[in-house]
Amino acid sequence: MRRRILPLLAMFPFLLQAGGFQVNLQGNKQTGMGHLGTSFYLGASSTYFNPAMMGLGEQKFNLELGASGIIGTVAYQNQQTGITETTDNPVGTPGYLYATYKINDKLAAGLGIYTPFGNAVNWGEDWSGQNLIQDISLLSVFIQPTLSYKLNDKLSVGAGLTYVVGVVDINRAVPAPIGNDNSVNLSGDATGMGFNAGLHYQATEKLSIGFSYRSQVDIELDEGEANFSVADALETSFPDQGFTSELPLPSTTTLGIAYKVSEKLLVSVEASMVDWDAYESLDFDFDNNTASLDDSENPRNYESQIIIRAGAQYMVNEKLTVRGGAYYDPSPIQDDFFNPETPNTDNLGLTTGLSYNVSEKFVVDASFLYIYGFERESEYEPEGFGGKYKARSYIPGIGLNYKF
Amino acid sequence: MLPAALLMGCEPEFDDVEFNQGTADFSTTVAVGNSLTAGFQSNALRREKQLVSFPAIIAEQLKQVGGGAFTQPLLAEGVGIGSAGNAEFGLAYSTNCAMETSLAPAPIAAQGQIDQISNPATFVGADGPFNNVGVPGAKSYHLGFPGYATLNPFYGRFANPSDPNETVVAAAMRNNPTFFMLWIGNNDVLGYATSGGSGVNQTGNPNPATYGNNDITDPTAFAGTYQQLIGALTATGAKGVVANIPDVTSIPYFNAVPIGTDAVDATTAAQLNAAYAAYNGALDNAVQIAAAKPWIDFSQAEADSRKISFTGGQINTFVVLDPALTDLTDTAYTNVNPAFAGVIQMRQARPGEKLILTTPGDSLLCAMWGTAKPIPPQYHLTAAEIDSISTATDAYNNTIRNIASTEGLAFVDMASILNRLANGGVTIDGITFNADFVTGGAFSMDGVHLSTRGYAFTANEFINAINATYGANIPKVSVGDYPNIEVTN
Repeated sequence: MRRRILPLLAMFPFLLQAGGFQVNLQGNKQTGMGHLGTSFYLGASSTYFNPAMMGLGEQKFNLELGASGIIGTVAYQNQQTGITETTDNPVGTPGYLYATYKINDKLAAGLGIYTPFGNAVNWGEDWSGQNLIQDISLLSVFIQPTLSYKLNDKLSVGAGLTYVVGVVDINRAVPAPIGNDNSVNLSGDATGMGFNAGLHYQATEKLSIGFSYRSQVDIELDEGEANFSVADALETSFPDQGFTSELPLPSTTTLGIAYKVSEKLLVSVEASMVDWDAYESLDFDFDNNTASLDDSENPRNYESQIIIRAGAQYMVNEKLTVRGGAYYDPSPIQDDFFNPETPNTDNLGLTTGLSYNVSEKFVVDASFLYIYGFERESEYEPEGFGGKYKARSYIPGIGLNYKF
Repeated sequence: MLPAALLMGCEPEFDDVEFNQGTADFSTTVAVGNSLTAGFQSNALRREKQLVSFPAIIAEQLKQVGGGAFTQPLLAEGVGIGSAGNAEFGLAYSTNCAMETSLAPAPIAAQGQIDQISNPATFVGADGPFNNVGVPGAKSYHLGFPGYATLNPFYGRFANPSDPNETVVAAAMRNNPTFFMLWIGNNDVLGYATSGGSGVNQTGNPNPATYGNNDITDPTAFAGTYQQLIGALTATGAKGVVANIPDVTSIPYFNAVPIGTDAVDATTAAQLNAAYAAYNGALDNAVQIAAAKPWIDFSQAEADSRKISFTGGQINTFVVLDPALTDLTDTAYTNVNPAFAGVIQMRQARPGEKLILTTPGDSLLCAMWGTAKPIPPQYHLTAAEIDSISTATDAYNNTIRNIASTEGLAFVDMASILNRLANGGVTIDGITFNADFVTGGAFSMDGVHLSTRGYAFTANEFINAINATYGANIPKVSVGDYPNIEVTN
């Protein structure tokens, strides 16, 4: 197969956070304890973590909202040239809003709005991997209406639909043989649909088990805009145009167990299987192909991974609860297919957090997550770009709860 | 419980990559060779391109592993100077005979910096010795030839003013080098190839003094010359790296112009076939004449291979003149039929044969070259000529590889590297290079010499070879840091 001047305009950013540095930040209480919360109730954020639990709270109405600031840096070192380059990422600020309402003792309804894929990687215009990616930014919003039903005192189930809206903006250099500042901006809106479901089983007073499934969401970008900024001589080869693309956000299956050691202390462990096998390649379909600009198929060949989480919370007094936890999140990216657009190392997350009951109705949460990205030496073989990568992230977050 | 080290350092950081010289000593490095070593690009030597000659790129990297200063005989700032007095070629819009405008290589100025190779006041020899003694046009046997400075102004302009007979190798050795790079031999076949095989294949004649400029150097003479060059360069203990010779048919100069056309429709094909009917008939007639005259030879097989036929709507190879064909204007034929005076040595080209880059495009497009008129032989490489070139190249390359191995020198297999470019290309840091003319990125606008990025890529290949042989770790360059050509109008 003949390679084109612009070999593969292969990029789609929605995976940045999920495989990327899998920063799950869908609830500050959960984040504080290793981002687990599938097997025990922590408020309205159950809408996301396990919809079966939405009716397990004491109050009729629960409202929860929060946000985090992602301060993350990835470093790259080319072992051949010795050059080290680092990202200059803007601070990402994903947030969430959950509301649940107990219709009766058995049935509860909820709505979750959260941003599980929202971040930015900026390697700079002139870095050595500019032909793969210069910068990428993404804002996505998941909207999830949900119902839960208490089958009996021990067993609850829940399910919801997810509607996903995303906005993406990507810049990369165009490696054409003429001219020296050729680049393309790719932008567009994408939508997708999915569902989630959960099961919660209170085995004993102390032991509870939770299971949740979040389906794969196929994100479709139907009206992307590709705007080329190329030397005059290349304008007919790279006309501004539309494009379409599609990307699977993989399903996640989580099983968790929580144990109340005492009235004050709860410990929990979880395992999440993220079905990254679904992400085999990224097809990119331009409206106007030219001799220099072909549609492309870009291998990703991600591999499914299991994330292990452990955490605990301790009620210091009536007002204050403190939390801590850790997780290990292995990268789904094989060493031959590691693209700096999604520079995902194996990650260890260390977390801490607290909740402070300002009043009966009003609680403030805070969390802090530190992500240590293990060094890896990898290549994106199709583009001949590789080296060592290392990542660090610092993510403070704050959440507010109101219940009555 | 967790290692404290995990939490240290706010930013991800790496230790510096450790580079070293291994068992080599790069403190005084010299580069010996031809135009490729000099940094020639796009039909000219030009100061801004000399600065990114592949030896200069390597020398800059060697500074991280003990390399010293690397001086080059730089031209004055300007538009460059080529062997025809021309300026460097750029890429400019031009309009052809069919009034189609497209980008094509063209000189960036009406005239090159002729004073740089003709006016002794501009010569830089007094600034020597130079670490880069690459001489455009040099063949293997020129490097050790006393008096070459008077024959080749590209050497004359930087030759030792106090010793006008100093050889190129001696000029390099004046540096007392600890390390050398040698890439020579390309011109020992290239002149023959770029002239459409108009020179002589001197295989079997070991005396270069009798050669013309477009001849193929005798492989035995090449081997002797090469051994002497290596002997001279290693005489004071220097280590080095040598590179072999690319197959000329892998370079764009011989692939940019197709060997046939798909522009002949059925009507034109019928007209052409009618026009060539007399020629085709004469060929059969010549067979009969030759059969009756045992002292001449013209076989039916040659007659059939020369017959010209066009089919509408498909690719037809061009009609070419081939002086290797039997001359039917000989009296043996014209005495029988005077019309044989017009039966010229022509045939259709065969797949695998080449037209050179400078074949006049307008003549092909608008003057019926290759269809109604045969293409002159200086633009055409026949299969036999290609075979002569590759046989000689293979012999040179055996010599280079064997001597490199015997002497323990690093060896760069540029032949297979350029073959990879010609067959699918190489992708580095998201940039795909191949040997396509202009669009391939690796070659300059002359279709023979590399582009700046092509030279940077070559520098990395040399570094690979040096690292492998001497246990060194020399940093490579990011090829993408070097500029592409820009359109000049």
